[in-house]
Amino acid sequence: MRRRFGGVAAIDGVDFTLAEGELRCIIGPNGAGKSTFFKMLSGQLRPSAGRILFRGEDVTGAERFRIARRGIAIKTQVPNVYDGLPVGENIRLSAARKQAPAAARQIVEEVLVRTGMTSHARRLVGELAHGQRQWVELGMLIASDPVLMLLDEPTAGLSKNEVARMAELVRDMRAGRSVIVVEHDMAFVQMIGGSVTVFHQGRILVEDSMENIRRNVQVRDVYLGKRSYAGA
Amino acid sequence: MQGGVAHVMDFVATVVIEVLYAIASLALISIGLAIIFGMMRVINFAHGEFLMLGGYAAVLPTHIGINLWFSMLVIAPVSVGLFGIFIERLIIRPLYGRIVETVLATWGLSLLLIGVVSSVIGFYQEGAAPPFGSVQVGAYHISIYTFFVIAVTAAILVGVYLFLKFTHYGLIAQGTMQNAAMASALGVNVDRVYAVTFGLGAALSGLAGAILAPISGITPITGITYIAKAFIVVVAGGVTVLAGTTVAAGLFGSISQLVTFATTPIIGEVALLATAIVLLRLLPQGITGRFFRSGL
Amino acid sequence: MTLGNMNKVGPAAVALCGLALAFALPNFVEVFVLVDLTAYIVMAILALSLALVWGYAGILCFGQSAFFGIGGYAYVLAAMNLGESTVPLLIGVALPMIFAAVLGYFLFYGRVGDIYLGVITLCVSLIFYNLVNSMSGTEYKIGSVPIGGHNGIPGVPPINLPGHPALQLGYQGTFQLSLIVLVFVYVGLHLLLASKFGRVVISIRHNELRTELLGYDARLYKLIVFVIGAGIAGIAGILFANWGSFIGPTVFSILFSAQIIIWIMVGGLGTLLGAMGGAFVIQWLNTLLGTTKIADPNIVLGAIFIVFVLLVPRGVQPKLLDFIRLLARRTVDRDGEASVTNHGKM
Repeated sequence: MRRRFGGVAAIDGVDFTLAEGELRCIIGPNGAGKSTFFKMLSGQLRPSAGRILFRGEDVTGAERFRIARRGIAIKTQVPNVYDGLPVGENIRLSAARKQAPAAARQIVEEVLVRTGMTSHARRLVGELAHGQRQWVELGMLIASDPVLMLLDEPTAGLSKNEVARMAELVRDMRAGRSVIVVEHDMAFVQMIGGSVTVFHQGRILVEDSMENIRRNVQVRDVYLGKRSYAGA
Repeated sequence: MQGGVAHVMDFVATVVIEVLYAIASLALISIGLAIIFGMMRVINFAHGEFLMLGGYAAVLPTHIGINLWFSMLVIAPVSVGLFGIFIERLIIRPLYGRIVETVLATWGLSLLLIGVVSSVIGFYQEGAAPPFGSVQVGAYHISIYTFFVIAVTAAILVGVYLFLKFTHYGLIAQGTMQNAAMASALGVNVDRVYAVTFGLGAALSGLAGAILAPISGITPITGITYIAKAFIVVVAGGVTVLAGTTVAAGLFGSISQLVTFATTPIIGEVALLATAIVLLRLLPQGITGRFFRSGL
Repeated sequence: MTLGNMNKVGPAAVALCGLALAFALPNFVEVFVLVDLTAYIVMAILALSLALVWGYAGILCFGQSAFFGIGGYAYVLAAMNLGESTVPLLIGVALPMIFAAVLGYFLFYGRVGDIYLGVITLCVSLIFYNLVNSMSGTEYKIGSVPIGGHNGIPGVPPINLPGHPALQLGYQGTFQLSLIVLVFVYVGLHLLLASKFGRVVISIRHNELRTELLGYDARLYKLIVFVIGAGIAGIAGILFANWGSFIGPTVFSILFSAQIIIWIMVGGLGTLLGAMGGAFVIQWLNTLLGTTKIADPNIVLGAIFIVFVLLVPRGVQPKLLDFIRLLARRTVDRDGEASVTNHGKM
């Protein structure tokens, strides 16, 4: 796939495949194109070239709500939640699309427990700390029972304890679902497992297991800014 | 046969001149708003009233014996420009970045100005006779002032282009428009740039109102008839100041004038508005959002 | 009673008060007071239409007056041609809604941006103003009724009982009908906004991207709301024509459009009662200034507009509710109640 913004190719030839039920982590320095990649997968951006196939069907350029209806849910880099509405309502809106009101309420209760937000149910999301807003958004994802979860920096703003809790939640959610996580926190990536894809300058640099990536000289150089892809 | 061709030529010449005039007056009333929108992303809904104030600033001094040219070309732009700087400080700056709030606040300002002017000056129409006379083109009379308006508008557009492209301030303003944070980091007083830019836009609006005053007269609500068209030209033109205004004015001016010739002025207006709606639907970013994106 | 429950009790109480007033008031006040009140009530209905479209759905419509005018004119032309009011009532509501459906499809499915939406809706209102204003000659007529240009159409017959053209509403009847309609619209909107559909609409205003990422088609929701709002504005237009036995092109004017926006801004975005209150207060202020001539109404309105945008951007009612919540939190905290939810639906 390619995606250009004006003269800049944010994504310049990415060929990415995820198996059903797989957990993949995407890492890479800032500006590598990770969030742009997610935006294309969730329908927020249309690729300038290339296609996106989901379970065999071509969803390139489809309306974002149609992509969401296929079961692709995204937690965006900057949290996209309803700051002016209570936590409970945020989650209910997510669950209510597919569920009848009574079932939706039940799901809201469960999700509040799993994300540790029960005591905050009636507070406006805008009044919460950044880390808590992340939990709310994650709760919205869980409530929608997705097939593919895209998590863009889920641990941003979380304390060490919360990062561990988040990892546990991701591992739980993984059952029967496919997950792609974009992250900077390597400890978190280790906790959740899964193989790793490294993005750099709009392309995939290397794909491997986490242990091998850690030993990969190229990756280290790219993070330290010593090397550009062309120089590889 | 020769007489017939001459008649057609006269007619064509008249049509061309009227179309140019329509384009010019659209561009004239819009350029001030375009500068403010293109460079600050601010939509000034009191723009019509800036035009109105410019008109009064041109006409009223003549009652006490001041030369019309002086009041039109000096007093009007300067006074409205200064007023613009004052307004920028008071209303625009606190709302910077919030497009909707800015529109609403300036809409309020528009009402306020209408109220103040109608209270202070009254509701009857002010005017001044257009200088020059008219010239004869075949069987048609064309006011020489028409040519004046076309010429002045062209001069203003060229002047703005040269100013933005070649003067020190122009470059700073462009830089600030592209990336205010960077400009600020480079030592530019961004607040001052915005104030001056807004003042410049206001001054041009005042000048426009002054120039058009002898033709259409001025009342406290003259601004209302201008704001809609200026708004449309600017939004349809897109964020590139000169290219946008020129192209949009060109398009709308031609269409509305040609339709007017074929039917009535009112239908011509409707055609202009309808074209605007269709254009915005097809090119949601305005004309220069799609084409001519970089540059002036 | 917690403040949470007030969300249900409040509107019901308001509705009952309204109905009670409709039946009782005519016995206590002079007819001219009823006539004055009717005008306020009609504007309150119009305010509710924009409250739904802008205040709740976040659709920046600068030309809500267009639907008001279309409804009014459609009703008048139909009624004066048919001699009876029942079918014209339906036409007066349907025509603005159809028009809104077409325009809305154009705008929402074209994903036209915020401010451009404002420009286009403003243009629409202006087109109507220019058109109707210029149709002065006697050749401009629908059926046997001249459109009248800037003079408008006088002599609008009152609404009659369906099937009985002779049984027409008097001043008292018009007052009662308008107030009852207001109550119905208020209750109806309240129910709509509390429903599953309504809550999605509210979420769109808060974060349209997130709503679509959850799988909702925001374009459809906005279109439906836009159409409903147009219908309500049309109803207000019909009642307006009835109130004054007259309709003129000023209903399409840009100054009138501005008024409607001021009502919502002052009363509060995201409120129903606030919107009605805003309409009442501003109308009252307008009348006061008009009669006492303290200052030009435009000056005061303009100043209010500016002040509210700069200092009270969410309007009066949310500020008032914030204040009440602040008081409630101090007294209720001890019971362990979490802070009050407010979907802003009062």
